[in-house]
Amino acid sequence: MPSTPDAEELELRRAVETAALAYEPPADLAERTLALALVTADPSRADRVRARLDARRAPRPRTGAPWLGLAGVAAGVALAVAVGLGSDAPPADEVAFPATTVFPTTTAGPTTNAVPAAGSGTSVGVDVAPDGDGVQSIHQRSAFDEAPPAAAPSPAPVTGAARKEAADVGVPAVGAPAATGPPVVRTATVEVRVATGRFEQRWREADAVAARRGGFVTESSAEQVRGRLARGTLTLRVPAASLAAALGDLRALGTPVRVSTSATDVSGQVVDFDARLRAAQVNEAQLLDLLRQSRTVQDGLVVRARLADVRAEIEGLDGQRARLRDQVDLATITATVYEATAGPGPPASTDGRLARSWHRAGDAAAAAVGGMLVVAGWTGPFVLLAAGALTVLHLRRRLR
Amino acid sequence: MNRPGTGGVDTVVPDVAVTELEEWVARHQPVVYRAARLILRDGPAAEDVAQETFVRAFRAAGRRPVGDPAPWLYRIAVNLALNRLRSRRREEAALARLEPGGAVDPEDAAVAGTTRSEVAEALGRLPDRLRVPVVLRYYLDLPEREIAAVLGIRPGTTKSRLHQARRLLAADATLVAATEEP
Repeated sequence: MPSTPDAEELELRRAVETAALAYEPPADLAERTLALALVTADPSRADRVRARLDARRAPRPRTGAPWLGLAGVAAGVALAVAVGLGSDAPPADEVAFPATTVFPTTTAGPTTNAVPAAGSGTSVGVDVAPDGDGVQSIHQRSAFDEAPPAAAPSPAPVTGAARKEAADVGVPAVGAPAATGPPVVRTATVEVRVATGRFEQRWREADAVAARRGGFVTESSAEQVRGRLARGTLTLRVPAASLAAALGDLRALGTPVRVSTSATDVSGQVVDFDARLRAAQVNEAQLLDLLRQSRTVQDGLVVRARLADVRAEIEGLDGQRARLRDQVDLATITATVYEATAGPGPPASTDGRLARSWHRAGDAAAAAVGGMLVVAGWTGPFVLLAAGALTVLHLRRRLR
Repeated sequence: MNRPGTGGVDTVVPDVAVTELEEWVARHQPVVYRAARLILRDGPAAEDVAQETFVRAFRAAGRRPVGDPAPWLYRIAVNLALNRLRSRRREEAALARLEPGGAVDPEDAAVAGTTRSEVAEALGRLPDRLRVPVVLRYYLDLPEREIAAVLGIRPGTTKSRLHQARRLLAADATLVAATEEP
């Protein structure tokens, strides 16, 4: 240590400052202090700060002329109606898969291959872990990189007929090694005609196919014809590897009238979801850094609001990936079972000839009235114009 | 104290007092925290002092002296820290501690092995009555007269305590080794 008093004092000052620098205040101390000071001095600020946070998270009301919004809504409704009226069920070789698709909820219990539903509190392929200072970060784990799900145990032996049938319908046979290819969404439709009086028994057997093949029924409806159940439709979800076996079971219920299958490669959508998820997670990490560095309450609030938006986006993407994964893991079969006299469509009319004629007459009258209305609609404006012109001419003549 | 009102949620204009508070916190809170930490040798207690200082300052902003608020803020912080220290001394006396200077903050052990921490440890080994004047004088730059007023002692006593602290630190072998040039 130096000997002169001034030098000694200077050295001590340096030593104390050095010692002080060993202690760093917590990163959030400033923000906590400001919040505490504001709320303590004026308790009403607590509500204002909370309201500011909520307002920044809520969707902002659109500025500009309100009629633009109404026009947009009207256009959207018109488009939806036009699409609804003009579209039929998607053809078998085309599976629409927009990001906003609403998927039917399951009504039966899930199988071992089911994935958690979106919004259940879990996310497929995402680990959440706190980092060193307690701030959560999300690490991505791609669900589509995992090993393909094991095929559900099938008690039925794999027969040569089943393999042939699988080849006929173009799906992997049960027991065949799972193909390690792109993710594919598989759907199938089958119509089976059963003997008269055997519908209910075959209906129960059709219902049991799903459980036997490791799946479940999501929808079912049956209707009466001439006072007894004779026609019904089931929607089954079975593991993709069991699709051929399930179709075989359903065909064996009676006489197969129609069988169709489709397979859609969704690898492009998977890549898109993964890319968007990665981008959102990078964004989240950057926002967390900004939050740690923010020195004012105002900045902190803005960053937190944006962080909430990004996390909502991540949750949405996770949900969509989970639904896509569900579509890939479980094939969808729509099975219609009916008795010969019932037919696959609406029941044939049982009315007599006079009654049918009466109905036809009514239909014709309605059609005629409808036609007249259409004509009136087309010609109405011209008629009004002509009437207006004639009235003007008539008045002129009278005035002369 | 009159404060300007605030507008709607999306058009808030910060109060002048709030802006001033933000500036105080940004500029002076790290110093207040470190001083409290050196005095109390306790991280959570130092955080409390660092927060409470500005809460009280904000409440009393209308009575602050004109000019640089630093000395005023430091005075608030020191008073809060000393109140805590006195409370802790009473607790320690009740528990009949044997070590002079009290127990070392276990958090200090986490940064052991660095020159800064060795100096901090050396300071920590000083008894409270010597360490506090050292921090107030050589870290917060308070004049001796003010230190005497804060501690409730005579200016001469402040001077002698500072001298005594300097001698002890000079004799501290660990501190000498840490601050010696290679």
